Amino acid sequence: MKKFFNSKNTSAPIYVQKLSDDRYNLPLNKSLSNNLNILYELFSNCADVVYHKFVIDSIERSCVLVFINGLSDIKLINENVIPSIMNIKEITQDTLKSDHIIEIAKKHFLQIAEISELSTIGQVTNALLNGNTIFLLDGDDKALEMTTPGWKEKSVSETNVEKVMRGPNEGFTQNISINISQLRRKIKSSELKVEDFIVGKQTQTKISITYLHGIVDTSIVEEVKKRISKINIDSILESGYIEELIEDTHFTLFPQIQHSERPDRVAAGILEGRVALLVDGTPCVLILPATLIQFLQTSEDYYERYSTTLFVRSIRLIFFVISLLLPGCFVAIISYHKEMIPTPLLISIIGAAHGVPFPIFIEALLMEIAFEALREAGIRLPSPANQTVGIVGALVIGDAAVRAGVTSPIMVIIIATTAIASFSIPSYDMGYAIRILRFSMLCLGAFLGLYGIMLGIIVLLIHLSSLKSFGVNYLSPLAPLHLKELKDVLIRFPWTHMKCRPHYANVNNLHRQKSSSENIKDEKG
Amino acid sequence: MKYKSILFYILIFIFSISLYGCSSDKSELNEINLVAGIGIDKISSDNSFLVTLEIINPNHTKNDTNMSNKVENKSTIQVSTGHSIFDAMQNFSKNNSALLDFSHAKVIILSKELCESGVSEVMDYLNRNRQMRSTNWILVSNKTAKEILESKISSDSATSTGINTMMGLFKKNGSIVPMNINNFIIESKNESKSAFAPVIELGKSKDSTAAKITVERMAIFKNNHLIGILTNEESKSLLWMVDYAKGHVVIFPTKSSKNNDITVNVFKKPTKIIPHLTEDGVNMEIQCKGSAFIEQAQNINMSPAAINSLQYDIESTLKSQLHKLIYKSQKDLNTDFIGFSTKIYNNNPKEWLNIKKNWSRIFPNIKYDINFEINVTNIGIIKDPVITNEEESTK
Repeated sequence: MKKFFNSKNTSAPIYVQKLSDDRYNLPLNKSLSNNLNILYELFSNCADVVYHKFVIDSIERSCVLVFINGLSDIKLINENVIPSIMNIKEITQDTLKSDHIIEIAKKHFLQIAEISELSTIGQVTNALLNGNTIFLLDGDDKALEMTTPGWKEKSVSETNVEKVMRGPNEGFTQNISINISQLRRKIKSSELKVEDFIVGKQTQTKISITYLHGIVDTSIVEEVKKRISKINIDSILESGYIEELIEDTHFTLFPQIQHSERPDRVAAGILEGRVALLVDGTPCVLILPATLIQFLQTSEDYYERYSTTLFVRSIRLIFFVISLLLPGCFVAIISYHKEMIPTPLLISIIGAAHGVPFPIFIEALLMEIAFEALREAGIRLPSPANQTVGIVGALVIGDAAVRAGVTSPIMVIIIATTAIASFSIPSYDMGYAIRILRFSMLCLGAFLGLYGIMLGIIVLLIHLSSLKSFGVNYLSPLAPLHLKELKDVLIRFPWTHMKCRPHYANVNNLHRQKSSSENIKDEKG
Repeated sequence: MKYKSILFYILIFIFSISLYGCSSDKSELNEINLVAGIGIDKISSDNSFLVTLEIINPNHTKNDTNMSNKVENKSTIQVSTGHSIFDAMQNFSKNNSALLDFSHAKVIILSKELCESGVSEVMDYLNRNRQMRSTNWILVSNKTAKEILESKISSDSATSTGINTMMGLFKKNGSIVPMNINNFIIESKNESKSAFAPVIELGKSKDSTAAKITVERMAIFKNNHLIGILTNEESKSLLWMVDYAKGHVVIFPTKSSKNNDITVNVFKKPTKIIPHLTEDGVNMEIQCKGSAFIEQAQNINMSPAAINSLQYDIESTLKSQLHKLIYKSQKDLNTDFIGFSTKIYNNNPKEWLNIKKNWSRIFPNIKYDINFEINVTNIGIIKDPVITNEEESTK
């Protein structure tokens, strides 16, 4: 409630919530270098903050224009702000000694629609993060805020890959500075650090790692930096290059780094204490470290009410398992364990399979391969031709093959169910891994029965539990068990109950919200 | 070192793949014949077995849109003989192209002659066979098992599946106790060495040429031999003495003192049989509980007194029926299928060792005391008969 009233009384609600940090309350100093030092400190490791220093000859004072690249309209700054500041020297000879040149400049010279005077560091950072330009003059304890927001919104469009019913519709663009500005707009905090690297001898691709200072575990950031600095490659065209170059091990089918085209999703990752890695020229932003569970979750799980999450996530988990095991289990049960099927079902399966020329394993394998081919063909083709593939697939595989006696209807049902199941996995790079593993499960089931499936699952679990992504166990929080994090695995607790960040976030800053009792404890301690 | 561990894992994987059994179990769908029911007869002339299999014919389920209305015989009957049952089963392969799959068999029918000459070898074979389920229903046929399997149950395409459904219904509420292999073996092994199984009868009905299958009586085994068949009423009373089926339904008309016809439906609750070892000998206390529902009534005035008398009538009727059953068990058959010996053994294992020696002498003279406690429930929902006969009630 307190916060609510506070935000009503002041004009900048976001600023109010930051009052906790003393540095934001500091008044502006008369010394320009002092002011700048505070800003440097606050925006340390923020490569997108631009400090344009110059001297106004006529009044012999140095001044600085501060703005955030991508958030502010550079054209406006170039054409209006800088010339009008330069103008100051020609007319204001008589007011040279005035202490309040800032006021005179504001009244007489600056050709900007909205200008306001600022007197504290907090106001300055707030203005910067909103895309405005700050004018600091040496010898003045006030700063001018010029409203110059100019991030490119038109080029931001909805993603085609990660669709949601509810949530922001924007996606990342191909331009890294716009992408960073999109993140900045989500997380308006000077703690959001952006560090740039140039990788690729020929392409000179800019990649940026972004994280929230104080929330992220610094060892992960250091590890990422170390791995990036080790890269020695001539070209980086997509974030997939970086993903493979910095991942922990190549001997696995499972993706160890998550990627997303949605700013809200990346922002959520950053707020959980993860590191986002943006690569210029691609909308796919890498999020690391990643765990298996995260690949089965979507950003919508957090936007919809918590009660639906349990249902949706369990459906997803069930179909994840189905997608991996169904063809293998079916072939195994039909070949070795016929007694497990209810009698009427077995009778109809036998009746339907009458006259099918192939053993059931070959039948399943053929159908699987046919489906994979259809899917692959469907992705590459432009959308008008896409329908043709669908129709041909449905007619040939679904109907004609059954009528011709090449395959049995029950096998079509099994493969179709598996196909639907594989599409219900939200992340398609995880889908790829499961698809490949499905074939090995099919072989194991066909040659060893359910015993083979069991062997396969054991080997898979051993492998998964040995995987690590930047020091974080791949199966966490399930193995090793982190009880608090189970609030966000299969079910999602209401937000009021999710007070902690994941265990891989900074140990000193695990609470994302504090109950009143905890606050008191903190004050005492 | 790294290669060593990799080699180690590869070896584990190869061993686990190559060194396992059951690889010969694999069979393709079109190689197998599903057996639904097994009939076993004994040919007394040369002491060999005649095995009848009911094999489900799945080709009829193939989706031919025009043929679907024509429900034909979905099963085929195959017969084979051999010196033992296993021999007979092997002989099937001589004139059969497919592998027989017994894992979906539901029903095993034993002929009366076979049961009279002893079922121990049959039960042993059924128990040892890896594919056979111990939940197969056991039935004794009054004719040959082959004839039973060849006959038809009207609604079902295969006889065995029909009998299976029938037994499932009996288990929920029925007049006889269905018996599966597992329970039959357990019964035969307990102290009394006696077991029971339902009798399946094939009788010619007058209006139709096809024979009709009836299951309404129980057969009693002693030392693996069939020694007698209970009557209809005795079979119903047997429900009170065994625990295999819960909540049985017993329907019978009672003649109350006021000459009104009432049919009640009695649901059984677990029966307590408590043996009391006294100096005079063993005295059994049988406590039966149940609840009765009025199904059909005519001209009854539902006063508390009338209900009390009705309860008394039900109790006495049930009591006399149970007396008859126990009398048959003790005097006629001298077989403890009602389970007295097991109860004594369970409650007084030490004393049982002494009693056991003279059991066949003691058993027919065991005194018993039957207590019935029947509650007529749900009377208030519909109280008096819907339409009362005024003339009679005014009298």
